Amino acid sequence: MLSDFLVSVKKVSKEYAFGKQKVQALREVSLAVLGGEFLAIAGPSGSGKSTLLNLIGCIDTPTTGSISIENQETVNQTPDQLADLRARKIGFIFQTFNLLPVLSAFENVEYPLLRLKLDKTERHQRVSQYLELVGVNEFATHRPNQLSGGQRQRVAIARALIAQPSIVLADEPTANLDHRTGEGILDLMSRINRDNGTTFIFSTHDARVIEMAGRVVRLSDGEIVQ
Amino acid sequence: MIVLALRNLFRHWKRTAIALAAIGFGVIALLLAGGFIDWIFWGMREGAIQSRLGHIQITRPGYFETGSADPFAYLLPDQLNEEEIIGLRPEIRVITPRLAFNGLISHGDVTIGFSGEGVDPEKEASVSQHLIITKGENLGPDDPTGLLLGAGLADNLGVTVGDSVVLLANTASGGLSGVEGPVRGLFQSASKAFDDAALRVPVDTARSLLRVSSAHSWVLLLDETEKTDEVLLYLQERFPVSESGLQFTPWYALADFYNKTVALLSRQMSVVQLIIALIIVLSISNTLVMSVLERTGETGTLMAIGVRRRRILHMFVTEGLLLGVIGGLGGVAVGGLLAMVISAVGIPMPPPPGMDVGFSGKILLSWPLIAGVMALAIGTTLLASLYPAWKASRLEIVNALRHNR
Repeated sequence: MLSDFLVSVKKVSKEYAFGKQKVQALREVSLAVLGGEFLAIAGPSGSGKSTLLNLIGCIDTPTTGSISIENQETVNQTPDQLADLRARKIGFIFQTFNLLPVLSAFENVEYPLLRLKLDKTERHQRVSQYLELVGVNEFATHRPNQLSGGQRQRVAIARALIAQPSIVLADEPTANLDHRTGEGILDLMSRINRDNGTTFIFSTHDARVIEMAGRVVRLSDGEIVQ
Repeated sequence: MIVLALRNLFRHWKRTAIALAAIGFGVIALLLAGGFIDWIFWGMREGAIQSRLGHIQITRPGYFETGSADPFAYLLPDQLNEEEIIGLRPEIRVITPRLAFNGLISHGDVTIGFSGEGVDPEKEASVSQHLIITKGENLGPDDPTGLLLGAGLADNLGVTVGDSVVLLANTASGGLSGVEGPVRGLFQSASKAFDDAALRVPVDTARSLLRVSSAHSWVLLLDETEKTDEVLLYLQERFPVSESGLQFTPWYALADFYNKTVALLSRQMSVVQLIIALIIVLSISNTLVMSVLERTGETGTLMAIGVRRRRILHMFVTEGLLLGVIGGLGGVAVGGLLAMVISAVGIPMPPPPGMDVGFSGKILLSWPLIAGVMALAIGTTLLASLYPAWKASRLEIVNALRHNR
């Protein structure tokens, strides 16, 4: 049956094995996210925030339970099918920015577009537009090591948005930034969410970040507590 | 992808430079060793062709197999229309008759056996360019009685230029015939065994000695050795053996020593190639494995943003291929330069087996050799990159992303 939810997580558990020892990272977590939400997943370190984001982002697979993105089941899909799903529907923003060091800011943002059938002019126009949106157009030719932390994260946001995905997943996007820069990044994400209707799901344990979220889901010991 | 691969390669330029040097040195070693051996092959081939064999020999069928037992049964028609054959193909430069015969040669009290050839002095000069006249002069068109002796035969007989010798041979009817003539010159070929027994006389002298009017073989010299097969096929089709009673034999069917030497040295060269390929694989495997390991986080990021595993594999394989191409081209450039310098200076070589004189070696570079060496460089780097690239494409994304922290 089709649902109105953009993301639907049903009774998802995730267990990791460390040698003979098994660690339960998530226990029967269920979550539904509507399109256009600005959702924070909060909780202390080790609570399972990143694991939940990884599962929603289809870069990890649940031990039990099911996840669907736009009513498309992600469990039992091949690695290539999941790669295509991520390329089309999911944008990632990482705590450590994860830009490719050998590419300029412009090229980093352009990279996800290379597999789409866009002509060069259209591609360049779109990259410039998104660099402008995140406020780093003047640094387009700079390599990541020539940018500050905040600038790098802005480039990473532009990269996450460039393929116009349904969801952007951000794993502690401000954790490696000073307070003021982090606030700027959150303002930017919030503005894009408001203006473009892009759904943001981000993990954080910072109370000030949590305050900015439209909805907060709290995790503790792998379970949703609120 | 190529731009990205190039940038990734040169982000650690020192490591890449070491890998390129390993490939480059391998390519240079292969070029110089291969070029030297190819030059030896070329020298042996042209030496054999232009001292004895010619490019194609026309004989009666079976002459080379059983002709020595009954030489008179294999005489060619009295007059082969040589002008017509020369005109058939522009590649044919010379056609010259040879009449083989055996007998005894005497000087004073010494009489020993010989293996002789009657040749046309004028035409034979261009076919036997590699026959070295060590003393005296070659046979001349105006000297019907002169003889050219192998240096070893002259030593055995105790004669030198200007001495007179007597040749005795059996005629076609079984009688004994003799001729006397002065020694005009001594020669040396690539085979000492040949020089110890061989002599040459003008073909008319040989004909009168044997009481025959024809020849055993007509030797064709072409303008290029590479055209042998083309001309051979043409002649075989134009003069089918069933109609003409003629057999056309290419030089390589007669060059047994050359063929065996080529087979032996080629096998040795294959072993050298294998060793160098292994050195290249081992040298650059380390570079490529390191590259995959230190870029684990980046690979995880690429996979997270939707890059398929196959593309990750292609990316690392492309880097390996580029290493091979750049290292190979660099090696070919430096190797080519070195080959030119070495060839200009020359490699002093001792006399080869069966010869008395040393020679100056060179490096013969050819496009097939360069292409083969490039293929080896690219093939080995491709091979070395496959496993690291496959490992990279099989990374678990979540684990790979942890490397960024």
